[in-house]
Amino acid sequence: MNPKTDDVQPEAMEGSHEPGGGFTILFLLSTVIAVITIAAWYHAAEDPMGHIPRFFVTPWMIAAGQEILHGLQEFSGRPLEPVQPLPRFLTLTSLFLITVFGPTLYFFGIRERILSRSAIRLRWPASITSIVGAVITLPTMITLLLAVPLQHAAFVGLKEAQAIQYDRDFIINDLNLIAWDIFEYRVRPKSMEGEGGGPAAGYMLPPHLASTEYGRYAIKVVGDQVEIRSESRRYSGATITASVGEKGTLTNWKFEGEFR
Amino acid sequence: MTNGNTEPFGVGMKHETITIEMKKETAVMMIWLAAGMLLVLSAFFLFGESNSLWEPLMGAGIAGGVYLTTLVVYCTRPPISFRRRWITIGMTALTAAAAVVGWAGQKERSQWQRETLLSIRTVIGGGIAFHATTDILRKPFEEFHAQQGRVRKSLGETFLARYSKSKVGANIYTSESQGDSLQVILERVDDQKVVLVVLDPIARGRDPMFRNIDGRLGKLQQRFFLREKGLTYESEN
Repeated sequence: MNPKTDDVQPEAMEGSHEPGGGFTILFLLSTVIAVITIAAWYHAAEDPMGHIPRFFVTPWMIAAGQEILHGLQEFSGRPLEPVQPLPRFLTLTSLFLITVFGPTLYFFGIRERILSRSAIRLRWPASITSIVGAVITLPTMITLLLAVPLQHAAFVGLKEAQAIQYDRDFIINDLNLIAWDIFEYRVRPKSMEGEGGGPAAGYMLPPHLASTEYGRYAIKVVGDQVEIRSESRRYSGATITASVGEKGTLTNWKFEGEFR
Repeated sequence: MTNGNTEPFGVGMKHETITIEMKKETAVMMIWLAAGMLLVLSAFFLFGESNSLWEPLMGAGIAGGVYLTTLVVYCTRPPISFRRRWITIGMTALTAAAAVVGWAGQKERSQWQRETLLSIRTVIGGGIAFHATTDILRKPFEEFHAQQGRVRKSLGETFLARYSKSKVGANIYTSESQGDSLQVILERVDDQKVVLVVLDPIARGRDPMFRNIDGRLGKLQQRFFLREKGLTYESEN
């Protein structure tokens, strides 16, 4: 066979499939990387802290969980605890995965595939690393692109729900003030400016309690029972109704509309 | 002509060349991985033991972004086609932009949630303060107005008759649970009125620099005045 004039047969151009020493190292490396990746995902699913999302593709979710944890500690009056090693480790691991490991394996693998296309078929150990890179990188890309509009929509909904809850809480505070005012009216003797003494008949809401920043209030006196009805200024149709007991306590709560 | 094995000699040479190239490429990849890890790790711990993860994350994120940019430029260098190169760079930039937006949004959301938790605590604290105070004052007020006959105790005397162990300046509130840290301090009691100052040492007040009755700063505090005609109150903070 003349190497200068005879074409090399296509089959002969395919490389040997017998593994060498380098193959073993690459295979072991690929296996270790795949195992670490699977372990990391599994560990994320375990959610040991209870506040960290199970899917820590986005390390800022871990930081957000830490922020909320601090808020809960302040809510309870506990001193702020420093960030524990586990969240730090998970944040760093997540960053390594999505900015270093995944993209490095993926882009190197892509380049090798492109360059090797016209040459011999790509050796399969190198393919494993590019597959691992793709397994990390492609879901990360899809998650990041989809997460932005979804999280924004969720945030808008959360703010609205919280605004409604605020309104409800302030109206409940106003109802407590009215209930106490009715109690005072019942307890004070009739000699005090012609008011009160015994039953609540004759009670009228003072102007500063009939209309506040958060709601409008009306009372209905039936015998010795007083019922207060409140309507939110901000949310039409959102009402709270309650009955005032003898000692000024509120019972028979009913929430309608947005307050339900 | 063969090299002693079954392969033609020219193919064997090319095979060895490609194998060497791939080993080199793997070594280069390992160096990139090591450099990337070192860069991200250094940037992460640059901020030391901060009380929040945002600062280390920002530092490491910027380092990761720089690494990713150089990686993409390196891996898409010629002989990768111009079109493929810029598609890859464009997709990477789009994903990075989505990451930055997601990051900033999540930070804003979590900080809003933390603020909201503190605001909720203040609203709850105000309601509990009113409830606790009216619980204390209800009986004395009732008893004062229920008195018959000419000889009547004053409002202050009626109050002290019920809370005989109360001293001016002391906390007269009985905690309902271990976590209940509310304080109701008897500030003043005389014939015409009883003044109680209620402090919630956990709930945040309006002014973070307000000096509370016990020396704390910035906590919820309300002052209640019980007179013969009824109860009034001032929200001091």
